[in-house]
Amino acid sequence: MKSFLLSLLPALTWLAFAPGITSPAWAQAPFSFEKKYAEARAELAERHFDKALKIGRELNARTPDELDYWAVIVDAARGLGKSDEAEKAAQWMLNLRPEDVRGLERAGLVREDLGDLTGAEDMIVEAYKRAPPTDTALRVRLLNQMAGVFEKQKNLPQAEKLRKEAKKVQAAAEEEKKR
Amino acid sequence: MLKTRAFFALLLAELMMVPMGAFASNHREAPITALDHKADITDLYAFVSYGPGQAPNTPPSTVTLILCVDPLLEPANGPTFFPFDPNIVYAIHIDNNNDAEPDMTFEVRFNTQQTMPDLFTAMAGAGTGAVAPANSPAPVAPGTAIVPPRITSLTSPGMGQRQSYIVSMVRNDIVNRLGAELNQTMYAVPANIGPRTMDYSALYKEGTYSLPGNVKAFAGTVDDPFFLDLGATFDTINMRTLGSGVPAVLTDAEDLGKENYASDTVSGYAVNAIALQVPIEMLTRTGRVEPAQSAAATIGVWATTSRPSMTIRRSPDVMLNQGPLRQVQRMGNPLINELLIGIGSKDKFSMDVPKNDAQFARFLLDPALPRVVNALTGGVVPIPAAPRTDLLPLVTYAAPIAAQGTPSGPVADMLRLNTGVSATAPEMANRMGLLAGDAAGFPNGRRLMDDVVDIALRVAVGGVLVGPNFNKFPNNRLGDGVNVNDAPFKMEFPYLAECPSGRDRRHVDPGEPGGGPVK
Repeated sequence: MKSFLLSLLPALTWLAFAPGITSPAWAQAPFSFEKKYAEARAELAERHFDKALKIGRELNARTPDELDYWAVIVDAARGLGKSDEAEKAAQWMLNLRPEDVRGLERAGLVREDLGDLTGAEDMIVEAYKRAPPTDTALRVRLLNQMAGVFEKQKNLPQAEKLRKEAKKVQAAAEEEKKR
Repeated sequence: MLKTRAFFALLLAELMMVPMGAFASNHREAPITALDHKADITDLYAFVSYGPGQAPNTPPSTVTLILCVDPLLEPANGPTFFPFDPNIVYAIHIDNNNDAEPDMTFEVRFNTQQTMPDLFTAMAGAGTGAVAPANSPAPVAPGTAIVPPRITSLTSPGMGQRQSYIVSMVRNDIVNRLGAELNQTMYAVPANIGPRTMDYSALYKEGTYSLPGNVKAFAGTVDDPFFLDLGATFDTINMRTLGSGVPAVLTDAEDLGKENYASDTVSGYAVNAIALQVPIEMLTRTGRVEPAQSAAATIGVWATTSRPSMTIRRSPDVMLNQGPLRQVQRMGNPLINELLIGIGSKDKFSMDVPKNDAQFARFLLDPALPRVVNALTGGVVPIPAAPRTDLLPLVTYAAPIAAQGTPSGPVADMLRLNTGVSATAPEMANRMGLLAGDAAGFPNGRRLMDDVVDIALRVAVGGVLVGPNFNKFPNNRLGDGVNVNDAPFKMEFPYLAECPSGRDRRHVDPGEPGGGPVK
């Protein structure tokens, strides 16, 4: 019996430090994912990246399959210059849903951070192809992101063209709203 | 023994009492595999090989590993039927030193060839073939071959879609193609289109390959070996009322019966399977067949499906690198992901590695399902208190599967197999496996005939590890009434039953002969 217990020691040690075992994962105190996520986006908008990252990690620990929470981590980690964490989170987004525009957009940003500008182009193009035509904000953001990549490549005419296209998309959307 | 029994009992009880989005055994258990059918692992089996008329205590010599993917294939569903995906790397991993990391991996990759691209269907054949008759309209001249002869070989002309595959063994980062010295092309056995088109039995036999080193290989579309009343399970555990008069409770006779008292929902469906038989010496860390009492006898087994990955950081020379893979799914023990892991973590679980499973501890040690059972029955079914340390033996190297003195290793979801335990002769095997004293059965590895649904039901509710308060009637007679597979398994490698004919397949429904009651 003693040897059996000893053989289980590593597992029992794990048990002692396992997260969340005193409170079942499915029955924890009420936790509003929507509210927390809104808080995280607000912190990002205010450039409070450390607070946003903390919330993002908490959300991610509870629901690691949710791309929006990984995206908070990418955005906040990039803001803090934590490039490793941003890269890992963006990679998880690509792995979880290779075709998802959110992951492709973040992958483009991280590649740009890493100085891989042609690689960033590829990702932004793939994201743009998948952007819903009705999501004006996303399309404008991607067009401006691509323009920024071209500017870094000193391809100013192409960058200017994309900036104009972004304005055009934005204007068309506002016109549509008025109707 | 008791600990493992309790663990499985708990799992199974959970399974019975709660509606689950994916259960059969691993059909569509996570969002990512619900979207990627081809990469969906349905079941993993690992057992010491056996043969017909095998004498008791026959020394173990080889282990059979079977990976099933692509669930609930309707055999009539042409015209392209069910090829393996050439973009997926199918893999079975072996841990032989208790660290939950792969010490060797068997990788299988497929290639598809189309030889009749202008024909409307992937495979065709009839008799000795058919030619254009005298009144054939131009430009096809009378006598022109139109329909190829019945397919009797994997190289018959009617095999318009044919898949070849290679099996590689990766050990210490060295990749060896098994059977390379034979210079032989191995073909996957296609679905059984129907008796006019093909002699499926002949193809099945031809597609069972013997390779040097006492290795055997098979890949193809076969009868789905899993068996259960899936429909009743999904209907919020609305099990049939059988002989006892109480839903989900079997009589003693039903419990012992080697027949079905309820509908096997998976009957008549097919699945894609990869089977390997390898010498035990190839698997153990000592390179020998170890006795069951040896700490080196027990191995951990899990399977994965992976696709080429798109990576943030690109290789500096992509043409010189194969490129990384993105794991889509993994499976060790049946029912872990579908029964224990929360819906918001299933994809992460699927894509991570066993050695990292401590991150999922919160799901394992106080799972929701027993509490739901407890609530739904108004407390009539008592459940053990959390944390459920009785679940640990399933995810560590521990007795009664592993010998005393075996390092338990990290918590990791792997199928544990003591390769030193002799196989039970198939006619003597007990569907309840280790719970019924059949030492060669689940959870000591997993055989095709092991009834993991009933085992899990009883372990989950019975709480054998916890004590007699949870291991009593009716808990120890719980079952879905589906005790055996609808098609008989073969007595030798690859053991899998033949694919039902697309033309003549039958799904045994409730109320039909062999399908048990509707109620």
